[in-house]
Amino acid sequence: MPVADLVPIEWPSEWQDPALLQLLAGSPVNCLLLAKDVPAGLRAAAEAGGLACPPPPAWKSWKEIDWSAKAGPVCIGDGVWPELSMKGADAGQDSTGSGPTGAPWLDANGWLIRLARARAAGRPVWLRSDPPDKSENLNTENYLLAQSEAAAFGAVRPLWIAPAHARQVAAGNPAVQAQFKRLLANLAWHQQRREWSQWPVLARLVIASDFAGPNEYTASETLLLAARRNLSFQPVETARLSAATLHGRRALLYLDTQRMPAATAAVVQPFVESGGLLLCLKASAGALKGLRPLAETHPRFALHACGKGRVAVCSGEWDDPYMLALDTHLLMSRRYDAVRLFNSGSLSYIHTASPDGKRWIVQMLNYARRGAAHQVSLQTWQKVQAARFHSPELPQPQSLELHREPGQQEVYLPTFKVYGAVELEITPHA
Amino acid sequence: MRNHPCPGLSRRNFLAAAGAVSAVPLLGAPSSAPAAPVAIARCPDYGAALTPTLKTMMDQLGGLAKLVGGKTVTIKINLTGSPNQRLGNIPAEHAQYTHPAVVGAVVRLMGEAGARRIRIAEGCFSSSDPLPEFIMDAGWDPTHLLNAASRVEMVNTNLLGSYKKYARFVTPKGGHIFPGFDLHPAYEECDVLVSIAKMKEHATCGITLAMKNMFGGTPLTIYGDNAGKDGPDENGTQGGRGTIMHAGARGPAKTAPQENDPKSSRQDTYRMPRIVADIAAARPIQIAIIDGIYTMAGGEGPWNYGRLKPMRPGLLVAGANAVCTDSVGAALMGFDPMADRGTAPFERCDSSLRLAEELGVGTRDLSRIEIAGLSIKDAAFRIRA
Repeated sequence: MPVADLVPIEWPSEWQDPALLQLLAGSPVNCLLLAKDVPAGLRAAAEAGGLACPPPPAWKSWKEIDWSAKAGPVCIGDGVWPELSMKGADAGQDSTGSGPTGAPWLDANGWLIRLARARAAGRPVWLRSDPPDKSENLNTENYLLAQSEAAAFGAVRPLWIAPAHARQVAAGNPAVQAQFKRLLANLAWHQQRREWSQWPVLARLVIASDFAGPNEYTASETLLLAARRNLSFQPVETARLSAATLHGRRALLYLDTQRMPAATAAVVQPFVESGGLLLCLKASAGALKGLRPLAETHPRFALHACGKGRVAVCSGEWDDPYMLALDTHLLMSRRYDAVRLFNSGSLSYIHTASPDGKRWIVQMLNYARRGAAHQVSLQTWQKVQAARFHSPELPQPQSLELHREPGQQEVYLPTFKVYGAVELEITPHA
Repeated sequence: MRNHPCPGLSRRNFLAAAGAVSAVPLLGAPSSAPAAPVAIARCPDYGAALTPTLKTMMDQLGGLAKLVGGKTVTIKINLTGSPNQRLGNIPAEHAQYTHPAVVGAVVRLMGEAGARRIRIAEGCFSSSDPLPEFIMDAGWDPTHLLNAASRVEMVNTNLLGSYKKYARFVTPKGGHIFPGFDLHPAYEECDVLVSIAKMKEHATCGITLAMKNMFGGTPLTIYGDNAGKDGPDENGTQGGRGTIMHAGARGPAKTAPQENDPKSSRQDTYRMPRIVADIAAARPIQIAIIDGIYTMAGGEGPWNYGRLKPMRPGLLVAGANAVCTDSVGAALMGFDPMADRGTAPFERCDSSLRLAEELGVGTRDLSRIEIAGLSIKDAAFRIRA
């Protein structure tokens, strides 16, 4: 079975009885990640049932991945359990931690999956994380969020349940078994819509770096914080920057501290001259020709014209990734945000477009794992013919009424606890 | 109370009523505070009738040309809270934000009246973003406002930008809480300050109208939750104004005027109405406009708890004195502007109308306020219905 088609489960060590394989009947799970001491009979029964039982994946920190490998999945072992972070919250108080964005902080993996997919160049990305403290307290929505997050961003997260829950499933607890079935159904739902996460991300911004060595911290933190701002971006390794990767973009954030190589500058120069925005350090700005200082001032950048475009040269070092993400967004302008969400403080999203450009999909994850106090709305300045809402929480996709205002259109979304996707049929340009 | 359909005030009266701060003792006879006419108009929505209705109202108040011709105007709008936050699906401008159509209409009228320079100002919530970018997050297109007249700018008054220092405004009679404020120079450089508010209730002030709107003009770098201690912190714009202003947990940046009595009550329902009155006295509003076309009931934003709901009173209110205008606004909402703590809308708080009146900003006595256009009786509704 091709590795790209594997749908794995971390088979609980509590499940020793081969009869428990029946739990997977009718589900998309086709691969068991077995512990070393698993009974031989269980493995044999699984393989006899057509389930793949590959050797344990070589889980690694994302910082230690060999990105140059040509085959096999990228196995990131240090993801996080996705949730609305309680870090910094006072014990006993009904409050949550807040990041530098002012919005609630989210423990999220989207940025990391995006980075891994960009660097892995076609290899499947697998992701896991250590079980959270008191894993017995995880509820169904916790598991659903972990699954749905990985699926939305295009990674594989092996199905895992806490030992306490695995024991209850094995003991025949009907409520817990029903919850496990929901996880399998959720997996199946996402499997049927895999193409959404394979479509190109609609991003006006390219964030370029070698993501290594002295650039690793700033680059990764900038991706993380750009994602939290719901600033849509495409990470690109510096060495892979090309006219194609810059085609259709508005801005390039070039993060490497080393001077931009001449070959890269040869790609970036026409991008800027034709109207693009480049943000970079002084060393890299020196690789471009024809910069003219602009009268416009900025507290952290010196602004230059270059052809029809602009070059924003950081006045010092990259010392605050949050401010960098913010400055990038503002220098590029929110005008180029393809969609805008309201009442979305606990949401992150990924926005992809079908290869023919006729369908947009905005997949949203709700890290609060409960329905919002106020409904979420989605606004776009793109002309839309029809909209539908998809969620495993609904039996059928739901048509959404389009609310048309001059210059913009909105859809009001049904309440969803964990995951919802808006499908927009785009009006072709006349 | 007189219903004055078209008073045609003289410019002298107009300006005197707008900016005058009388020498009334802090707790002196309130009835001697200045009075100025207030115009009330019905406007069912933000469509084609809006600009002509506003023009008529301004004419009823004496005409804009005399007031703003050749002058610099700063228009403080009300964008309270995050632009991302809505009451259900309702766009912010239909609930808690000043509607951009009202702002655009006022800008256009100011331009037509010969204003030399127009600045749209707001101290954006938890943000140092340029105002045009901030409002894009609400789904607005700033170019509509920037093109409504010539020489229109937008400024986020939370931080200095290209300026070197904040402007100092002294509160007459020493103020209730603050003897003065340091504000963005946009509030000093203008000849005419316009406050365009939304007609709403407020959790800690009972009502929020033209005076309370100016609370958002206090720069976060000095009065915000992450303000500098010794001086303004131009990077300290994250958070709101809860720590220093609402709660009094610490003082503003030391370069700014400090509280008169740091041992006074720390209750926000005591502090906030007083601070609102102090600001109104320190930097008087020349034209107060209240957008009551669409609004919300139950609080000032979706973050309030309780009986929040959208409303469409279909009203516009404008006047040359903020206390008078807000008093009429309160009356239109179904409240008695002479009410004080313990009586609606001030069940839990003191009345900023009384406190501003005590500072001599203007009268809240409806019997002294000329009404143009609709009468209060004909226009009043019950926001708590």
